[in-house]
Amino acid sequence: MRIQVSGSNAKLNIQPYVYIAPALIVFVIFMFYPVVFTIALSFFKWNGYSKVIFDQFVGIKNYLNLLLDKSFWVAFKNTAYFVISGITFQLALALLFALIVYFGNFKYSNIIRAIIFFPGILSSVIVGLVWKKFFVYDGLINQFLQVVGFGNLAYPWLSNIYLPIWIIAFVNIWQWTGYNLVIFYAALQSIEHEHVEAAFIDGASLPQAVIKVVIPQLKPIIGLSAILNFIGGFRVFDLVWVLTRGGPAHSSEVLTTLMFYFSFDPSGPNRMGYAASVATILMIIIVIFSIVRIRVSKKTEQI
Amino acid sequence: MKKLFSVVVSMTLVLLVLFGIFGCKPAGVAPKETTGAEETKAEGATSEATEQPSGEPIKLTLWDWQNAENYLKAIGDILDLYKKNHPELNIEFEHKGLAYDEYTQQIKTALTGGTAPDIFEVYPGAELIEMAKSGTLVNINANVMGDEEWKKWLGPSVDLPENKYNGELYQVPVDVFAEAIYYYKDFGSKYGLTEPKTLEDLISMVPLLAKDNKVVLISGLADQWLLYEPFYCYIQQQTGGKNLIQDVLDGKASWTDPIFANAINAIKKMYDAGIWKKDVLSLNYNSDAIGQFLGKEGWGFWEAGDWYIGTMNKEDLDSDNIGIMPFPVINENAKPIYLVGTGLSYAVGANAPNKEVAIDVIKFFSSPEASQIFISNLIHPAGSVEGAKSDIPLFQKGLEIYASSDVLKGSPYINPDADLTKAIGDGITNILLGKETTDGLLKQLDEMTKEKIGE
Repeated sequence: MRIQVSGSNAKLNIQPYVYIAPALIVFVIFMFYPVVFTIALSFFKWNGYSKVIFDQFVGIKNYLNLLLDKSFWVAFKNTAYFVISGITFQLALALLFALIVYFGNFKYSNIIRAIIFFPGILSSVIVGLVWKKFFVYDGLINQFLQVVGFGNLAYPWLSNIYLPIWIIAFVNIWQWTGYNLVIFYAALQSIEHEHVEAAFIDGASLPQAVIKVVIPQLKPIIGLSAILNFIGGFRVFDLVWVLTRGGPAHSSEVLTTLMFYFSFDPSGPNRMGYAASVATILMIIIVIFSIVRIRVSKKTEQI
Repeated sequence: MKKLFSVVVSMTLVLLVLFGIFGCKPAGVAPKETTGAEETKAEGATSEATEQPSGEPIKLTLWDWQNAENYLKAIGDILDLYKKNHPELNIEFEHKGLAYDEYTQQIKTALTGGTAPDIFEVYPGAELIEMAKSGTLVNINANVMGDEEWKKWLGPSVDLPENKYNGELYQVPVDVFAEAIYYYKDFGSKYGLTEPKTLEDLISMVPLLAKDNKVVLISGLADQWLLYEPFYCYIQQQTGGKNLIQDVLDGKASWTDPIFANAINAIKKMYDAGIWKKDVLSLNYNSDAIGQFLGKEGWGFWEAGDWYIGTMNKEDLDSDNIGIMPFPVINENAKPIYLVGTGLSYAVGANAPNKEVAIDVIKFFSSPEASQIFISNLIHPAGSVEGAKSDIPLFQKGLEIYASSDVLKGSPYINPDADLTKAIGDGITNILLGKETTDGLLKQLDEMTKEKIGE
């Protein structure tokens, strides 16, 4: 389908646009429009009940108040802890397990990989509920301590101000290590094996070969996994919600749960504009790292 | 690529323009608050709306977060009875009992999208104030206060402050309760316990039960209303029911008044003495605590109400094994008090096309006929219960406590500000965990209140 634009020789071929129009319309309505709406809302005060949404313009007041809000910084710090622990421990463990399975030549390595990968296919809600059974005061951890004679060490793990966010981070690491293991294991199969063999022939030990030869070849995929974990970490909600609901006293709140508290929690303050400013900041962080991810991904493809 | 980009931008602009035209009012136009005078006008309009052709039914939708079987049955039966009593109206009801966690999201979406139900439940206190301010609710003050029959049916429930904004009623309570401590009488026989009158009596029970790995009180303080409502109760025990928090918000008193410190310190004393389970701060009330109480892991249930009676073990109900008592007094000058609050309440949406009928329906929920249906489903009605009897002794006792005048009654939802409520809930939790001091919290509340008064 071509349209001749009168008075010019240019011909506009609209056929490709017709083909992509359905997907584009869906994208604009369900992705682009909500993003624009949220950014716009972050400059207004709205309680979520009034039909008049863009009525009380407050400029950047929501952002300024947010920067002075202690609960925002607690949530930001917790999100950072969660993300950093996810990237470091999760990737390190996944890499270690991948190397063990790869170089170990176990007879049942497929089964081992499947077992480690298994938590990744479970819903985070289920994972959270199961681990909650471990950490409650009458839970499995304290019961185990009781059985082995250390009952005096029984502790209310989730009722502490400092511990819950680390418990959530631990559960997250447990759940997603297997997923990263599979990625690393696949990457290990595509490295230049001749180089590894040459290193062994030259007298390198296994740790030396791993550090000097294998890991440098895995760098792009490690980088990609780190960025994927970073983005996923910033979006965590369900695990926190099931394990602690951000408590006690909002001490394990992350940015997404804080956003929920400000906007929809029945006991919350109904500040939709304020919550939108949290969402916008979160989005900016994720967009920056998504761009980095795309670039790293391109590099990986080239390699 | 450039063209594709321009197409995306153009489509977005078109959408934004459409949104601007249909989705918003021009900036600077303040939302109208519904006043009594405007209400009269609205009613006039409604009268026309209700004069519909006989073949065209009036459709009324009701939303709430009561999805327990007994509530669904009672509400369904009451709506059926209303239809039966009004053969002249061709009316159809649609009732939706949502899960509590989902409710706020759904009602907000519906209100913004213009698809709000005609009658719906609003969280009393701060949320009701926000909605009333936004002009989302019909001011039904004149309808209730000007109707002697309705006022008589509601009795003292008509004055519950949590349903008011600027002293005017925007919501009518449907079921009410006296919040109290429920306890197992057989625990008392087994451990030689008597009903504790003071905080000291309660604390003295700890070692007697600890030897069997039991606690005095079961609760789930992760839900912070279980901290700030006893806080309000302990304040009112000392003031004789006077609403001191309102005085503070009006600038007539200060948070540094020792009454507030006494109330916080009483909760801290209970926590430190081991009244509750060690992980009580991470337990949820509905999902964790009720299960532990039913499993008899403790003597009493901190903050129970009629709402759980249907869940209690049948043997305990039949054998009258569960007692009710107010929170023990925190010092010798304090008087026992039951916190009184509302469970289900109904408001009428400002955009309801049949406001007059909707208001009449919520009036019917206060009627003696409706109250009888509620009682038979173990729900304590806000409306008339004169002479009402229940075969379940625990439920009967709840009805008598609410109706009696020999105990002070104080509403738990006396704090109309969500920020202050959060600060109190977080602050008391931090005090229990040793991360905050009572003085520090009260100073913070004082500063917050001054800022709010300044605004």
